[in-house]
Amino acid sequence: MNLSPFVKPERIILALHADSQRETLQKLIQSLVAADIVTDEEEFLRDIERREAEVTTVMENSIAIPHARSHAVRRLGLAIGITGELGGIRFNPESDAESKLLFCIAIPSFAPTSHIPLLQSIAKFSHDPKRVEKILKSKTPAGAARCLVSFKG
Amino acid sequence: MSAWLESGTGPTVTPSTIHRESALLAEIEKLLELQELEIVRKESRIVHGESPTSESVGNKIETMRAGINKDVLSRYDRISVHGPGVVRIHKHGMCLGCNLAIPQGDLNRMTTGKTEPVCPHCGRFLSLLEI
Repeated sequence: MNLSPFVKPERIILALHADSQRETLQKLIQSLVAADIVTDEEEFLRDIERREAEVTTVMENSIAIPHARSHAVRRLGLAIGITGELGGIRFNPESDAESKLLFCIAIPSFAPTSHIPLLQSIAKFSHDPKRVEKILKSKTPAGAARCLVSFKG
Repeated sequence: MSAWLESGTGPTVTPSTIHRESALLAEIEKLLELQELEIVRKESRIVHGESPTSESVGNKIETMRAGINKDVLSRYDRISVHGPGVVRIHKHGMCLGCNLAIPQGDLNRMTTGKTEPVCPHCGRFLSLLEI
């Protein structure tokens, strides 16, 4: 799948630093609110926390893909957070695993399975250690976006 | 399968019909939960592969399926092959599965339990919570 319609430099946060899952999500969701993808920050935050409590989306390789279906979402959207050299974020409070690369997917409730191809692409990307290492070393949001867009998974 | 599930035409409305259609409304809310869990399992398989987590979601799904009327479930399974089997209704009376407007008269009959809550255009079960 071509990721270019979803990957926008303005929705990529470099040097993301947060002390909790909630703070991380708030920072990621703000970029989705700014792009008018999410209409109600609090509602989407609640939905994503509920989904995260059901089954965690933290992967073993320092990657997390938090996502949720919500009435507060107007269209399918993606925000990306990269921690860089600041170290990982303990995204799942029940696990010690730290996440350095976070993909936050906003899914409209009227199209509950519209994100599946996007999720598959991101999961495929995440299983390629060289590409993950490259994106983690990105100096600019545009560079990180290029790294993702060049992936044809 | 029951005639009221199969029939496309409106049956004669009797108190027992209303009771049956109201029971279907409760089943539809269960179907919504089931649909959400099935999506979560699909997501979990993509993210984690076949793992104990996906298995535990699978067990929840089986438990939930056991508590749903078999006729309703088999109809849901048939529709689900082509996308969501249950959808909510937009506040302006539009089916969020096929994006077509549902006639107000049909909506009134659905909300009062006189007819089954099914989209007249695409056949998906409709959750009437938004109305």
